[in-house]
Amino acid sequence: MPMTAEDIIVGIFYHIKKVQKGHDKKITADRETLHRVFYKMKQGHPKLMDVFSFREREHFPESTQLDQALSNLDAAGLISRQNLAPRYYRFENPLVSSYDKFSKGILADAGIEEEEIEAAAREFEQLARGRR
Amino acid sequence: MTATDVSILENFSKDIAGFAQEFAGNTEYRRPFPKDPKIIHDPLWGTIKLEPWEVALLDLPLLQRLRQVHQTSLVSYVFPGCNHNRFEHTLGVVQQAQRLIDAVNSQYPSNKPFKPTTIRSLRLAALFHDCGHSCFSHISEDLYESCADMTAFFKSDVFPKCHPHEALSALILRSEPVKELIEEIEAHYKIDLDNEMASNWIIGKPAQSSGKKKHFETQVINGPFDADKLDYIFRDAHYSGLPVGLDLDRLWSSCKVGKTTDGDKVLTLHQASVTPLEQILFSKINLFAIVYQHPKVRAAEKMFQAIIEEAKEKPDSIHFTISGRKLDLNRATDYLWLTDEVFFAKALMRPQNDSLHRSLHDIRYRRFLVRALTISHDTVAPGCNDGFMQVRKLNQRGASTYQAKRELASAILRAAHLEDTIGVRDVWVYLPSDPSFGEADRTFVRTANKSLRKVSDLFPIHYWGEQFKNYKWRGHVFCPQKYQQQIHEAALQVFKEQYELKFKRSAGETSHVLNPKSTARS
Repeated sequence: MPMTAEDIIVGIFYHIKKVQKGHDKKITADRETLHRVFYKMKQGHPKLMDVFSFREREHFPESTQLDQALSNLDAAGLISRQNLAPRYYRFENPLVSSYDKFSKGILADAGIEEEEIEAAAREFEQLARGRR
Repeated sequence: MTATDVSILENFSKDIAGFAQEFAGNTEYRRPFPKDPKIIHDPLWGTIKLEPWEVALLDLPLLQRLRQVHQTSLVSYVFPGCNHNRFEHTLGVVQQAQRLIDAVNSQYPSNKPFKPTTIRSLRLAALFHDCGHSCFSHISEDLYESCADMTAFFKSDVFPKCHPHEALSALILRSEPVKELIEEIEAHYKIDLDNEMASNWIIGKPAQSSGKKKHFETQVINGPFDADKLDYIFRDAHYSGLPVGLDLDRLWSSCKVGKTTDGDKVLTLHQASVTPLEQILFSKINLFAIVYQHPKVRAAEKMFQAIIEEAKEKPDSIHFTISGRKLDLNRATDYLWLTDEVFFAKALMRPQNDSLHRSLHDIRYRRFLVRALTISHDTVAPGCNDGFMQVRKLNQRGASTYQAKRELASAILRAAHLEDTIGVRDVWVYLPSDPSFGEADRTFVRTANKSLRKVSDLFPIHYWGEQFKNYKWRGHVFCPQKYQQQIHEAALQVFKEQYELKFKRSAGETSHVLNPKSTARS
């Protein structure tokens, strides 16, 4: 199975910490924020984020791989946007099981260490929170 | 960059220049520069007026060859009216570019944002924007994108990230033979053209002035509601028989140039004129769901890919030739020589009992592969999220996902015990990409308090994308009709074994399998 943007995102989201006990993990669903954050992360983690390529656009750099990956995770029910003001992606068990069952092994086979993903997750949280 | 990459890149540039020389620089094919403008009647937009310098370019084999490239690949085998080609589309883009420019300039009594040289250069960009397309447009693009020369080129970062056909078009426009011709045209007609800038617009790169980007010029050719998009949506819808109603006059009536907070200049719309943009995006979804991703269209596309794959693998026994030149389809630049006509003409050169002759005629005479399995939100059994994601992710573009889908097809063939009966190129796993709605984040709207906001801030268009993937997105396994049942059952088994992905009976029912099976309860 090839490693794709989806596995990187599953890995990062898996390592994100819960904001509140007893609640689902959540991250912003704002497209601009996500593209800007992943673009920034690519500068700091070029190897990990190699599968994401960005195209310079009018407002912010955009990655088709990121759009497609979020769309795939959403379509498969690993993350979801609920209610009429879909400001956040929420995720819990399906994403955890997906990481354990598939993405963890795929990332390891691609030579990506778990510590690197954890570090990326921490950076993601920091950057995404700053822009929220 | 490795020494191999450097040598590949050198050959890549040489090959592009060679193509440009033959199709634009060869004086044997050139007619005297015309004196008069030309009026062309377009079924969609009516009268299109071209200046004499534009006629000189349009007469080149480089642009005339676009008559031999269908705009919508093999769609005409399902929607018979869809026989329009890249040449017609090119003219339409020139026309739409001019209308957009006129609409913006008309908002400014003096100091118009688009100056004469910029307007001419934008029309030049419109004329050349698709000259890098190969046969059947986007379906060959998927194949040459992974060729070593194309990947080395993108790795070199000479261009920002863009589509492969845009890169080829821009490189042709920058090539020496085309540059020399444009210099001759400038001298002859006493005009200025900026072909460097025109090639940048094709790849979406804006000009800069005092460190600030002039996106508004690029957006005429490569933007959220650019001339290219406006023409293809209207044209494809018109010829497929699914006409769309877009209020372009309204869209343009408020189109102006504004400044972002960074000081960059962009095209802006008034808040009240956003509805036509929503119409454009909605039409785009419909075209994807109904026309571009029609299962029969995609089956034909896979048959095309099978032939190209074979030509790449066995270039000595299967190759396409044009003017005595043997094409090597392992090089992206050789696709420039291939047109729809050259592709199908191959059948006429091979004996009737030859397998390539038959494969080509299977497409021409519409003996398509059929569906053996439908992969969708509706056919996947509940609780298979992980497996569904692992399969769905193969819709990302690239060599590794392409290879993974081919391996999956091989596994299905083996599970059906048909390896000795049919070939691996008779079985295909097709997983389409989702349409993107990034346009909503790239369009700026002037609000009542004169601030600029994104369209997506005012209306969550991405929601439409979600509905699309839940209700319209469908992947398929294709195979020859005769083996549909066996491939259906084998595909169910392989998806379950490799991905723990189970299917309801509807996966076979929607594919018209005679005896559909389910793995949902196993």
